[in-house]
Amino acid sequence: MPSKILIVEDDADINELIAMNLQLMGHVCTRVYDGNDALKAIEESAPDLVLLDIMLPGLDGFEIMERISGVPVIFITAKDGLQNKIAGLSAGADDYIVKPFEMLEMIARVDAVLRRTQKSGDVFILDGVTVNLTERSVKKDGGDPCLTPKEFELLEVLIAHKNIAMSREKLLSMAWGYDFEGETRTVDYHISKLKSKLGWENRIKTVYKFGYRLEVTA
Amino acid sequence: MKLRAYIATYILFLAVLFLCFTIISAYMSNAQLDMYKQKCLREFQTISRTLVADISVLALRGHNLPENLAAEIDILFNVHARNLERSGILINLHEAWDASPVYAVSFVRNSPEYFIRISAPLAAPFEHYTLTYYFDFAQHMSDIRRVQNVLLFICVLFSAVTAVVLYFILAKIFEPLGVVSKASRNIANGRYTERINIIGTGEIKAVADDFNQMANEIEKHIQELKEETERKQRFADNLAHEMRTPLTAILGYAEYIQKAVCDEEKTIRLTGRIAERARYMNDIAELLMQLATLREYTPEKSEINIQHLFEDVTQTLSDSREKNMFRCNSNNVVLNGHEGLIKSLLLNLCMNSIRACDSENGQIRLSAQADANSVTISVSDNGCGIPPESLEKVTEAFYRVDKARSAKDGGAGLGLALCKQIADLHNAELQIESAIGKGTTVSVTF
Repeated sequence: MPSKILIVEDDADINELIAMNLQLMGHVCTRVYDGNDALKAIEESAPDLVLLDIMLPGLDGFEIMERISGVPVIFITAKDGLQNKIAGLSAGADDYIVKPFEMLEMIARVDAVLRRTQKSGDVFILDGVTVNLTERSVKKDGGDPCLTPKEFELLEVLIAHKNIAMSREKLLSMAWGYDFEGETRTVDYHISKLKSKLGWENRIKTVYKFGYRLEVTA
Repeated sequence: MKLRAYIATYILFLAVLFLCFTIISAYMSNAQLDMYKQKCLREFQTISRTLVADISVLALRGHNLPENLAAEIDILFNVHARNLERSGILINLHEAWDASPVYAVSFVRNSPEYFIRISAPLAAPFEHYTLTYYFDFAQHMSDIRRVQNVLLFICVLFSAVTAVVLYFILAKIFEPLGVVSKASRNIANGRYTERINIIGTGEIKAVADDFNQMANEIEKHIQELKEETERKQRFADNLAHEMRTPLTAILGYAEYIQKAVCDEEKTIRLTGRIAERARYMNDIAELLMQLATLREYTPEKSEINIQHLFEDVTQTLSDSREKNMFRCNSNNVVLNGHEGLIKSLLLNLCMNSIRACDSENGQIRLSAQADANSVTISVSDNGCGIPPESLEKVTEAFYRVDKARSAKDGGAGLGLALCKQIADLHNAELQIESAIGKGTTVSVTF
């Protein structure tokens, strides 16, 4: 389910970077570079989520927060420290990301805010496979491919990070939990099971010396 | 402190007062007693003489029989005694053959009666009679006592009045000390603007003046510390921003290339961005190094022809459209300084001016002027100007007028910090004058 996301960040590189990553997730991004344009864009396009830098030319992030309502906002800032986080969150932001941030972290936070604020039926369809993430059910060409609970969790992680390569360690910690003391070969085994059960041999790609990526053409 | 001074002063006062009282009252009563003693003595002598005269007469009458004479004397004496008793005097006559012919004066106290007793033999030839005289002194003694009591009462009253008066006098004297102590407490509690206002002269005034001077110093130092801390905090915040923004981009692009599907064109574009950002960070690191090392550096000076320097600088910057912005007027001044550093200073000032000007109407004037003992180089533009509240801070490392620190119209905010450092190394003064919308003039006086 694509969401409309407005990115307000004056550094062109970071702005583009965020957009590129969110586009991988299938979101539609609008990019603006200063406070005044941000206000205009929020009024015109009514985005589902705004990623808002605090230090901006024109109006700064806090001033923008005061003038908008009903739009979920995630603050992005280079200012670390508890005081700044409290200031950001008490200004009404839904979350807070500190530069430099990791791509996965940003995607996870965006997903979390979107899930909280949107009532989208979480259904993912690819190559005749229908995954209902709320009901935790999978259908392939009308039949049940009979996934084990672990395989389903792995599938969930891959869908949440589609188009992004996930390292074996990351998959292990996200699908099995951080305290799981398994080997990365466990991941390989479950991935190959998943591939054959869903017929996704060309969808789940092995990334050389790194991990796996679920490729979905946007 | 105040209570102790009060008690000590009061005790001293009491001691002196009551010592005086004791001396005066003892002296007074002694004088009075002496007076009475003299009076009694005179009376005694009169009585004694009268008795002797009377007895002589009796003896001359020819009563030779001693028993008869004794009886006659007794009768005579009794008449005298009765007469004297009315005025409070008792006399007694008895025979004592071995009495010493001296007046024996003594006080006899037989409470509540009080007597002056005088006893002496009569004159010859009746020296075997000793006359004893008692003067009832009780009434006079109580008079003396009363006077003493009145005096004591006055002293006590005076002490009580003094206690109150002394309290107020001391309170008045110690009042400035109270003010000083209150002010010290306020300063100790962080109200550094506290000052003492004491009018007049003397020690307290001197203490107050010293105190105020101390307070001034403290306030100044605290203010300096505060500014220093703020400057450090600003530096740290800005450095963090200046490092994190490119780092976020570098990390982000690297992660994207690693994890997402990239075609060759995209990969080249993104790695180019990474390199560009890394180079920017490298530039900052180099500027910081320069700032750090320049602090300890002694420049090798040589004669610099300013005309050549101006040409050099404008040439360096003239690869772009800014070329015809520059107007140079060197007046053929020659400057003694480190050529590389002075050039770097001018380049930085010129780049600031270029950023401040719009490309169509922008004008940048480089000029140099020499007088008897100084050379002034100035760079002025008609650009956007610097807001007055930022003027003091622009030479701080990483300070930028643009709070958002956007990358498009400037570097990291190190240029003027470097200029200031170079000026300091040459013992030159860097001055910035600016008006919003009208332009900025930076002049360096060597």
